[in-house]
Amino acid sequence: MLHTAARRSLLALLLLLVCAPLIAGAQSYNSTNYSVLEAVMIPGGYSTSSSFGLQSIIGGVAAMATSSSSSTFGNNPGFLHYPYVTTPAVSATSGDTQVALSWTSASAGVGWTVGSYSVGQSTTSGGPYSFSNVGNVLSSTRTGLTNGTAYYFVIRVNDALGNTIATSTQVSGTPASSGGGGGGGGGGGDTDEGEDEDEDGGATVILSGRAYPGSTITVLKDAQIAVTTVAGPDAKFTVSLTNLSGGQYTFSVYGTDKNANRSAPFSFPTYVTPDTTTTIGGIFLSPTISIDKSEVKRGDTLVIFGQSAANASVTIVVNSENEIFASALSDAQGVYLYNLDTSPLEYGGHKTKSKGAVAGEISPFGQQVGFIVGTKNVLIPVLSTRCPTRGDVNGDCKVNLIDFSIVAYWYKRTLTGTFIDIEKTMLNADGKVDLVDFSIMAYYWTG
Amino acid sequence: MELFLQRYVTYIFCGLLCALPASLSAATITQHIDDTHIGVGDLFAIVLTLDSEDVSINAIEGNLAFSDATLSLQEIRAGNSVVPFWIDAPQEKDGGIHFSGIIPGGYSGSSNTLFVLVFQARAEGKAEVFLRDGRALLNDGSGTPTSFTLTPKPLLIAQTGSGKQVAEDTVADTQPPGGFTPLLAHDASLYDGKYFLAFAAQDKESGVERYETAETRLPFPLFSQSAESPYLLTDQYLTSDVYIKAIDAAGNERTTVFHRSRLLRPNELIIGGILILLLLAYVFVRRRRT
Repeated sequence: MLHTAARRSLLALLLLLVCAPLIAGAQSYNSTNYSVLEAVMIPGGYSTSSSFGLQSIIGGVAAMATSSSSSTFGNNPGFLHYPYVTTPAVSATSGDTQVALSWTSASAGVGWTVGSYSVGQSTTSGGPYSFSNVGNVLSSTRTGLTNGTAYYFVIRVNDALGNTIATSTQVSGTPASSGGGGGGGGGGGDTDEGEDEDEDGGATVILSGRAYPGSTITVLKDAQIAVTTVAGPDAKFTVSLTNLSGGQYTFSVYGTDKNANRSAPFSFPTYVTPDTTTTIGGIFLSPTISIDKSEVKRGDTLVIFGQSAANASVTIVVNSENEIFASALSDAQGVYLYNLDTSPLEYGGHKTKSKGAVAGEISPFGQQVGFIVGTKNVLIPVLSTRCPTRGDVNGDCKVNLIDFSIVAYWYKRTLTGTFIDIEKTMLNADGKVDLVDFSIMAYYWTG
Repeated sequence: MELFLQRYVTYIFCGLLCALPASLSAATITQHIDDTHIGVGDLFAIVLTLDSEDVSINAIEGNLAFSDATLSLQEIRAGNSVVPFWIDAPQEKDGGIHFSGIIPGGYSGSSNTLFVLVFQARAEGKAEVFLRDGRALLNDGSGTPTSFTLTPKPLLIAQTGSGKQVAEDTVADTQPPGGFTPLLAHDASLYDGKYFLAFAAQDKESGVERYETAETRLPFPLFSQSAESPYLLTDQYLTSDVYIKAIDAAGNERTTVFHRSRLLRPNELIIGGILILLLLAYVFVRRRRT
């Protein structure tokens, strides 16, 4: 038997847990002449959950978590802190009475955690879909399907409480009985006249998604350039790779914007089944990002600009002591621009990055660019071509197999001659070649 | 007592919060074994998959060890790996298995094959594969390390086996390696600025085992000893076709030709020019005489 006081403590605790969402109900703050202090953001719908959300204010800091089962709490001073999640890209491979689905991990932050995924299935494009929760996994095979019938799938991202926080774009697959094709005889040898073609097998991979209007799209197959194409005015692209052998592949896609800036690559490892078609849809390349100054005088404006999909809502984050969130709308060409007032920033180094959102799709954050808040302005010249700042050991503005070969040659050898300086400027400047140098190269890889 | 209970309740609540699983932000190798019964003499495969769901990694290296009293390593299959470029392809070394490689663009996924180990059960008893040491680096441009572990999967080798002599997933590899394109380059930091070729073929079945090359100005190549990338060209005048043959572990071959950039070498141009001048002079003299 619990003592009365202890029972009282328990009751108080339970009451606090049940009422917490109600206590911290959402309100509107419309006035222009006051500041909102100690505000708490609660994602919609949580107060009606049968479970509970845990939000609190600790010394003027909003501590955000999605549930009692979350072990990570973000402490965010100020008010403008929105949880975010990226929409997954999804692949569908049809088989005999089945379609194998796999998807990229959705990344979430500032209060949201990914708890599970649900697969939505329909025989009608656009739904309605019947959903089934498959847990916190990145693949699912839908079985018992009818051969010859087209099936449409979406992936829902659920948070720790089971609320849907993002939905992927739709992919489709038409199951077919196995057999047919079969990829021809084997053995022996093949001779290519310098062209990179897989003549055996017969699998097809179709990649589609959004980049920037009119941008160049480069597709890498196992880190080597397989094909390039140009995105349409709506920023959408579709690329097919044919005659692939069955096996494990990693496909990477990156876009190059009108200012020759490259996006962060989107990578998708997948197993390609011989004589089938795999569709990878919902790729949303992160925006490119540039700044007009490498050093900005504190109080002056730093121009942050880049390209995303047309008419996209672009969120810009400045990682300083206190994170700053800003948003800009891209124009019909996908170009966005934001004038950052640097008055609130501390002196020293800062980094900024951006992500895009359009039509319910949300891209991951792109690459970060750094700048210094100091006592003078140092402009960055406008260049027609931009070379990788690191990893490009032979100076051809690419990071590819040639650079890998050069660095591999120096692996575990004493550096001599010109490579000493190259290692200092293009790799990690520790006077030797090890795994870290290869990691830097892999990050800046262009194929 | 009252104070004790109050604290007790508070501690339980706090403990529940703190004891909840920490978020996974690491790379993990998982072992998959199809065989349910393994006895002495049996051959079986352990498929190692790479899991990195919460972070993006782009470089890994490690040293695996195994119970050599009960296991005998027969084969390593790295052909169908999620790692496209090996710095050190997985190989048996010092009683273990060493590997290092990169995944350009980063890897964030689960259940994709790293490589496959084929063992023969040598003796009755416990057996396991474990990660002696290793590291994985984040795809963040700085090579920041993250934790790298191998999920343990101890086995029990029975006294009598099933007589199985071929690993379950062994499929006859009849396909040659995939097509590949050699890249010509020269750089002051390598081979004193001389021309070299960089190349890498992929074989999704048994894996590329070796390369052979031949440089010739004739249409019939004579392949010599094994070669590797970067390959220093013997003919620095680039007047020879370079044949590169990728051979997989099953003996299937794929040959790619890197065609010559020039027809004649400088000395041949000079000799040719002199010959042409001599010919013209001869013709001129003959005409003058007639």
